Amino acid sequence: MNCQEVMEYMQRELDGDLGEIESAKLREHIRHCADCTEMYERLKRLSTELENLPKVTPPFSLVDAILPKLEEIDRAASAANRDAGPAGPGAGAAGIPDQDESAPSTPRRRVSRFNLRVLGGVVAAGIVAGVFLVTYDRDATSDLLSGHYAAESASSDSSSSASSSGSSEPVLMFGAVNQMGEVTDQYGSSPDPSAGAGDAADSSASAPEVRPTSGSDLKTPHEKAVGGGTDPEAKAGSAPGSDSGAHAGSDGRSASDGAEDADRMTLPAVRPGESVGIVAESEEPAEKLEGDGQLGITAFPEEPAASSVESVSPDGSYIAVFADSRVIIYDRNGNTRFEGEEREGAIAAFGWTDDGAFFRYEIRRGDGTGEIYRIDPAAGTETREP
Amino acid sequence: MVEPSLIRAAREGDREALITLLRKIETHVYRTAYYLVGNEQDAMDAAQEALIRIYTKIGSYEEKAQFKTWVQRIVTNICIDKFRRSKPTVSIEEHEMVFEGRESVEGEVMAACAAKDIREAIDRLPEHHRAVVVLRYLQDFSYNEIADSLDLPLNTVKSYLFRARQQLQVLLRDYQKGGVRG
Repeated sequence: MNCQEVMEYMQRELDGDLGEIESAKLREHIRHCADCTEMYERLKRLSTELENLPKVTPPFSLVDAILPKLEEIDRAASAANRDAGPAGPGAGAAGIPDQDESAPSTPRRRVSRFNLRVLGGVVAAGIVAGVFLVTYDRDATSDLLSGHYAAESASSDSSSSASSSGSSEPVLMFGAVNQMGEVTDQYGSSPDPSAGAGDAADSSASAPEVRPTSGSDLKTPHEKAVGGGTDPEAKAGSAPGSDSGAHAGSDGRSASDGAEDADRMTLPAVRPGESVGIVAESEEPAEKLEGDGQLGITAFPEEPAASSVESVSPDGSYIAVFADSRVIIYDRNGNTRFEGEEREGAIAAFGWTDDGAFFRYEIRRGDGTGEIYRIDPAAGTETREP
Repeated sequence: MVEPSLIRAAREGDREALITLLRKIETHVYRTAYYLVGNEQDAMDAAQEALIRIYTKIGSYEEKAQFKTWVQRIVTNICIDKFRRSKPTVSIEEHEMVFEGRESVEGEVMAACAAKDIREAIDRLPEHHRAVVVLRYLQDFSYNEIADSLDLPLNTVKSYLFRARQQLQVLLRDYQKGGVRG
């Protein structure tokens, strides 16, 4: 057992993750190794200090502070229920204008126009994101993983902004919380058409997923999405109608209850019969968003160099991670498919073969020597290339 | 930490239950936010936003997930997404990959970090490493719970946590030596 392995044991011991035999091995090593003894002491001290961090509490009740806002949301939701009937709490939680309360049937035309605006805005955002992702130099990324997740996150974000809770969602996500009220009043609409818009954006933004780009550029599509959400009119003009139709139509879930509106918008392939399950339709992506958004963040904040140790295969089946001097390949479920030997040196270049069958990487040491390895994750083997 | 019956009532539209639920979790939400964003004002904003999102999205919570990891996922999402700071963080992976570069890592960390206490050291960690540390130590989460909250593979959680502790340990050792590296 070398000191590097002991390090992991020490770490796991701190988390109570070691079995008895492993603990014994750890103690045995530490008895004979002054360096590890010192390291272990320091880690234990650190862990204790972390455990003793102040358990801070908010200076006043946060729930009390947001109660007015929650009531506002409730008012909007109940208006939604009256207006749209089947809309559930999740779908109707926001985005319903108060003025609809008084006259649920008259603003038909206005709502329809609004749909088009929102749809256009979101689609425009999706297209901008798509174009951006496609045109961005994929070689510069050296990071397929973050790109893949970035694209996913971009698509899920833009879909969620419309689909989960109407037009106030982008503001919740990108703007200040206290803007929510006004925006709800200003841009609110019944939730169903926006669900359609969300799907449209989803399919348009997911197209470039095959051409991943660097995660650090993810912000751009996000910002565009904000623009699309808060200023739909401006964006709508730049969104080709045929595109939005195609995207919406390509997705079976699209515009479920918005069939009536969809007709006016000449969206093809919208099935008017599909008016069931708005709640499910709008809630499911919302839940999914939490997950995908999270994945997207994986790629977000790291320095480019930091994320360059992970790479996802072209078809998304595998993720190769270079960490602790070895390559580990996980499948999409997070199961380890291959765990390489420790290599001395730094990873100098790496990538998946185009068919995704092999992961190749080059190790370089300080003295200029190095070699190239090829991993076959399906077979779980690694070979050194001549 | 919260009774399942309360969560169920909240999910089924009982507003009082939902408010009670929010009151029970607000401290947990705030604590994570506080250590992730690093100051009280942003932590208040982030925590309130998280509570509002929980309020509106409670219907989408599925019981197959743990409620507390669902809650922490929302608050960490908001903190990392919206309250990202421009402060420089130490780049962990970049250096740890190169084994023999360890000495220079410490030098760089030393130079980059004049701070003298563990909170500031945590502040210096990259966001996901910080999030893993916060969930482990402020929320007492297991590896699996952290993985669920952050939607990361279990192995990634471990490697983030281990590297974060190693990094913090280096920082603290240097503080204890009065800034002189041995």
